[in-house]
Amino acid sequence: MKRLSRAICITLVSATALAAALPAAAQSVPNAPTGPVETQYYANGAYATTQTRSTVACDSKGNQCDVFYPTNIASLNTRLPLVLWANGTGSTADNYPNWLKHLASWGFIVVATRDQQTGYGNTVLDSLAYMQAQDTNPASPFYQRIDFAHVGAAGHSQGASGAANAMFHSVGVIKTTVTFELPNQNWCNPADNCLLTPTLTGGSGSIFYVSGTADSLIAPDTQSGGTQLNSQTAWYNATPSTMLKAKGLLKGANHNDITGTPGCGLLGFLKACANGVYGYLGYPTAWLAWQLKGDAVAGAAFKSGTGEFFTANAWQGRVSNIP
Amino acid sequence: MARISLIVAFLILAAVAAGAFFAWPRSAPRAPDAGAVVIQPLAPREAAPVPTPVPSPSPTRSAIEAAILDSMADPRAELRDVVTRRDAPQIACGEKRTSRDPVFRRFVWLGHLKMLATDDGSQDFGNILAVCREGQAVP
Repeated sequence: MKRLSRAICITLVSATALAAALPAAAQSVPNAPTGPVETQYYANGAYATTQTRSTVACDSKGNQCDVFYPTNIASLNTRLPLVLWANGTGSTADNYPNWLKHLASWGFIVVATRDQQTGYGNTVLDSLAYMQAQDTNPASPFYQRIDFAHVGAAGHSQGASGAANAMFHSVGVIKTTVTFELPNQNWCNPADNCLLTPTLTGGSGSIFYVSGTADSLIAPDTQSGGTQLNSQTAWYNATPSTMLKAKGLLKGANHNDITGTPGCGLLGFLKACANGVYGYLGYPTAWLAWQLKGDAVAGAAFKSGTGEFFTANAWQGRVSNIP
Repeated sequence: MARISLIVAFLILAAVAAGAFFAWPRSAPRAPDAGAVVIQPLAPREAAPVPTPVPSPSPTRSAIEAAILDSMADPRAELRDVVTRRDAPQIACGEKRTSRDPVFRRFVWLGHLKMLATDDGSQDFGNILAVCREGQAVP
């Protein structure tokens, strides 16, 4: 009987060890990078990162802000570019830890209001004002550390609208936007909580529309018709040709995969995550590195038709007007 | 000998169970448009003009209706004919009107994504509406 008990214990321990080891060892990473630019920016950058939260409200709704930045920011010789992050509906930076830390590891300061209704973009602009104040506060870790000539925005779902709205209402302060899963205008409640067509068509800056092929209900590549902007292609086509623009869909990614850490974990089904954040790390980071840090090699990856982006295995529905 | 056989059988069973657990596909990514149902374009449902909506909080309002109303951030918004999908209770469909748009229009609510789509009379909304049917793929 003792032997049997021991055998059962050994089996249980072995099974537990197996359970712990298998996800890391046997997991096949979805949307792995292929080209050198995607591979470079898919990996974390050189900086260790720190996350902090404002002790006071940073926006007009009374929300605090989360800030992700290189840990050694005080000892760096240069000011760092700033990325304003806009959360999807009902979300905060807590839902995007891997993506936001990844950006900080590449030398961006990332500020994210904890607003859960960011579509208008006003609280995103509030977070910019908060960081401008931090830059002039000698007691702040961001005192004279931010390069306000290189400010970008990015956001997810409703936050994609918020990031774009922030750029178009920033009178040129925000230079570029990356939208993740920008919803059809069908999904806007109220309508102006989305990016409105006149706002987009009158805008300036640059924009990279990113979606997933498994998000066909909310942010599909193409649409059936109508006058609303109900697809990534419609958003892209409505973007003025005077703006630098690109669009691509990550294969198999659904609406919430950017919330992965980096996979979806055993509880991924609770947040409707399927593949995880993996595929989103490379080109979106490269776009920001090009636009805000001047990495021309990263920019060349988006060259219309011939750039590396157009042969990447993990992407489809790609188009750009990058010369 | 019998004990040894029993232990070996148990070990095999445990290994098979562990393997099956980790091999089980989780939310396998779907191909573009998987589960989409092409339906005929639905004519915009023009409800009769109604008076300006007034708040009508109901003590029996379901949690899902409360979540939908919260997402609209409009204290004057109203819902009617709300039906949740029995096989996917996070999805609800019905009609809504708001202070800015005081005509009842069909909506689709994806509770797990906190997303609310409104009927604009387009075929795209028709495609979205298909998710209200039981058995359809859940986004």
